[in-house]
Amino acid sequence: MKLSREGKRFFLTTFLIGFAALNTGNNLIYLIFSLMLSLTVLSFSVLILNLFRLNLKVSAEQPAFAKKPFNIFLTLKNDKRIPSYSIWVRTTLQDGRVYFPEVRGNSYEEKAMTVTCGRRGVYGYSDFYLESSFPFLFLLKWVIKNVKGEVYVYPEIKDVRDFSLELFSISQDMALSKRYKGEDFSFVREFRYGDDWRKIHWKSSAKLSKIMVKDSLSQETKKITLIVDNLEPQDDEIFEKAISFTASLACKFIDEEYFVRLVTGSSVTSFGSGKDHLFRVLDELTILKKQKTWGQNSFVEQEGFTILVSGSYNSSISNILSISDSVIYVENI
Amino acid sequence: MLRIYNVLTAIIAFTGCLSIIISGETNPVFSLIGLGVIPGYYRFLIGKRPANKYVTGTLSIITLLIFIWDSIFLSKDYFIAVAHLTIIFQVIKSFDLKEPWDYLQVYFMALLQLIIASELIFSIIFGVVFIMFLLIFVTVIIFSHFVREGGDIKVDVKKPVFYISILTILLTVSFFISIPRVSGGLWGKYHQKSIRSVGFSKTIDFDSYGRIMLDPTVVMRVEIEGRKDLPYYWRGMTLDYFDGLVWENTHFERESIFGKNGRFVLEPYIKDGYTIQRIFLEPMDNDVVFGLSNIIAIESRGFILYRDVSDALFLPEKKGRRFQYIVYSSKILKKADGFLDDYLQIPIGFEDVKMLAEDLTKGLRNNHEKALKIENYLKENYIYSLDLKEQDSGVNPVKDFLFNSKKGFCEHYATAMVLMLRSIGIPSRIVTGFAGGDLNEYGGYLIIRQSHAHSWVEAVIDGFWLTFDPTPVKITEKPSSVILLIDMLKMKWQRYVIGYSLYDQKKIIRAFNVFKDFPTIFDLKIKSKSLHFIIFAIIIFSVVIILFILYGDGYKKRGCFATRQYLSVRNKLGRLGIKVTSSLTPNDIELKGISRGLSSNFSNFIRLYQEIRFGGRKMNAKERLEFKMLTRRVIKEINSL
Repeated sequence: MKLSREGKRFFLTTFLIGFAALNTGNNLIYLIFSLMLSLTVLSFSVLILNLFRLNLKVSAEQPAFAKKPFNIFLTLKNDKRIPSYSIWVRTTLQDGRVYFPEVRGNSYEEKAMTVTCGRRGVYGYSDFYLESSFPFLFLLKWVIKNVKGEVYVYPEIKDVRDFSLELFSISQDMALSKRYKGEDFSFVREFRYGDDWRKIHWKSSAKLSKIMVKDSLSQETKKITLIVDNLEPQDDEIFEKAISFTASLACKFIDEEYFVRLVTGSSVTSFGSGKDHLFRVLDELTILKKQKTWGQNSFVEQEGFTILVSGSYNSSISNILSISDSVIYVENI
Repeated sequence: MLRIYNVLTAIIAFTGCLSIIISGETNPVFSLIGLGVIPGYYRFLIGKRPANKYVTGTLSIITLLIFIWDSIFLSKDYFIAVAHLTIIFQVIKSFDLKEPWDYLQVYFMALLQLIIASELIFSIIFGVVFIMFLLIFVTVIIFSHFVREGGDIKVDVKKPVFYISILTILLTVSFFISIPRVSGGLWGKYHQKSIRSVGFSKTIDFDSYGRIMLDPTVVMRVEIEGRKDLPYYWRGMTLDYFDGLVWENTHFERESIFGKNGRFVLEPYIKDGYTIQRIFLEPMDNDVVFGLSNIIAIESRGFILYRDVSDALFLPEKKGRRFQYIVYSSKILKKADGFLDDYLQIPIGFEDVKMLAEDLTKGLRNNHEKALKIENYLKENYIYSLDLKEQDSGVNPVKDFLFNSKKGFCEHYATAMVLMLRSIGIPSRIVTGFAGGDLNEYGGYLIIRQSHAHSWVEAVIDGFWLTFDPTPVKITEKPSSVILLIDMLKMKWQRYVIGYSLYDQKKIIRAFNVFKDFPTIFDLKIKSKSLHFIIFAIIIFSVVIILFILYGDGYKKRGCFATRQYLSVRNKLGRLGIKVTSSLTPNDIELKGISRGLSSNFSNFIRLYQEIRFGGRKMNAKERLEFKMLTRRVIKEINSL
């Protein structure tokens, strides 16, 4: 609890009035002094009561991307019979705060706090501050609500249309040249989140008792491997740019119904498409860190079209991997 | 909400000015100026722009000059001049409300006006204004909270305002009752005007003729227990020497009586053998203590009383303020002891009065019968009148009353009786004070007015001082019920608010039986100059400590290394045309800075500041240096843009 500017002036005035009452012995000044004291007591006690039995629930909007505003939903529940007024909820996640003018007794209010994170990463939140200076602005009190949770802030998604068009055409050409004779152009596979509902193959779905979709091309023709160079040394800014670029490519390719695989120095995902797979890829990119050596598991055989995203020409990745069909140095973008 | 808030601000300013104006102590010109808050706030409420700052600034300077002139030449009273000053400032402020702090200035000034008013008026009107002020003040500060925190967000504030107002009233009453009282009076002077006594005086002067007014001004109110023998004689002092025209008191020697725990015991007394009178005296221009005859004890604040040989009691100074005390009067007659020859003095040339007295009392056996005979003679054969013609020079007013006009008022009657008694050898004296009173049935107390001022006689009969009143009974008009009801409220206000004292607090505590022996708190009445300095030093020390507590912590926080660096950068942002307000968060500032072309250094700087300030990050010496360097780089960048 701390005194506000107004509070300091008010309490100083109270002190002076108290002295005046003592000096004069005038009961009317004692009366005014009593008023000041009662306001002091009320500003203290009402404030404590105001923040008493308040509970906070927090949920974050997903997906959240770096440099793009997203919402954190705050539900303030008042478990006492009397209402609470004028509550600010502040989080250490960012210097933002949300105002709840009134939360009725045995009720709750929900508000969204818009947050923008400058970088990708896993942002943990734990301490939320419930602040109030109700009723008189003289004192400011806060209580800490430990609501643990974390927000995955995915890398920034940029417009990669120019690159993707070029890459699409290359990949198509390569795919056609690699296609096995006699292979079907279409196949039936299980439905994945993000698939077009119109492609549901009802006959197979009924037979297998799960939703199946018919795909138009063979997997082989639409396989893309995205390799991210996370070998040290790399400039932070360029590394982030590489990750952001990879994420953007992954989004674009999956959107175009490609089967995408992500390879980093520490992990390899399987090929996949649809939103679920995209989030798996983005999850990997979100937590990706620079490392000194390329992991043993990350030496993969070339399948489909392979794109290596690296920071600069100086990277040692080219000495390790020589399987890429296309190499993009983000330094030049 | 904003509109109601503005209206309430106007009302509170008006209430502040009103509280001073209704005291009647201010100069009418300044009171009229006070009405200026009405057009001022009207302009404000209809949304007109504040007055030009140069105009209000000039007016403020002129007001300060007027204040100096006022305190030296016009009112010649610094306190009243401050009252005038606050009125004019409220008016100026009503034309110049801009910043949120202006509103707070209005509230604090209204509070100051209320404090000034509390020194100027003790009327129940102050109570009405106080309640009004309390309710508006509570409402307006709750509104100011919402306006500042939530802007113009709609919130139903009726309930919190209602409940907090009720709680404020209850707590105010509790604090008022429980804050320990000391009589005070260390510095400053009292500003309320005393009642100028019209009827009662310390001398009786027949030479200075003046039309006696039946002034209804209340002098005192008395709650009485234990005696019903009417009429009541509120004894003030006695006069023993008459030079033919003027009665005087020649007994100047006064004995000091010191109180113990606020109780002054004059005579030993037996339990239940006394009448208790709780007297609430209005401010008067004399030092006399009034009460029924044979006062044996007094309970009062203060530590000293004086008593002369006639048992008249006096305070150390004039009663400039309302005075409340309890008198214990014995039902047993007071024995006449000491030298009584002084009470037989008759001026030369009053032999005819002696003849009249002897004629009247011829054949009567004892002094008591003689005294009663004279008393009845005067009562039955003389006409009470306040409307007397001016005496011709050379005609003695007492003789004229006795032998010629046979019309007079109490002083004539009492003088005539004393002279007659003395002429037949009965020691006697004039007593001045008040007689009777209007019984207020609603409050169960007596109202004593200026018009109840009276003179009567005390004579030594069989070794005891007995009271005689030769003045015929005056028939007075009974006040209306409405007046009595209003007076009862005034009495309650005076009894329980103005006159509330340590005595009452002790009584409350005893009623709850908390302490068997209540600790003694002596009245604080410091005479020594050195003690004044000690108290002054203690107060200054306390103020310094409080200021340190209030601001010291903030200073430390403001002095945080990272915050200082942040503020130094923030203050530079004005160069880039960024208007930095207190409501801007570091993130807002970062966005604004970036939009003005600042590099990532600036973002890093803000991020680091937030980590240190809010994230609890600790810095070592190296990091501090780096942060300082980063600050310099950012400032350099701002300067170069």
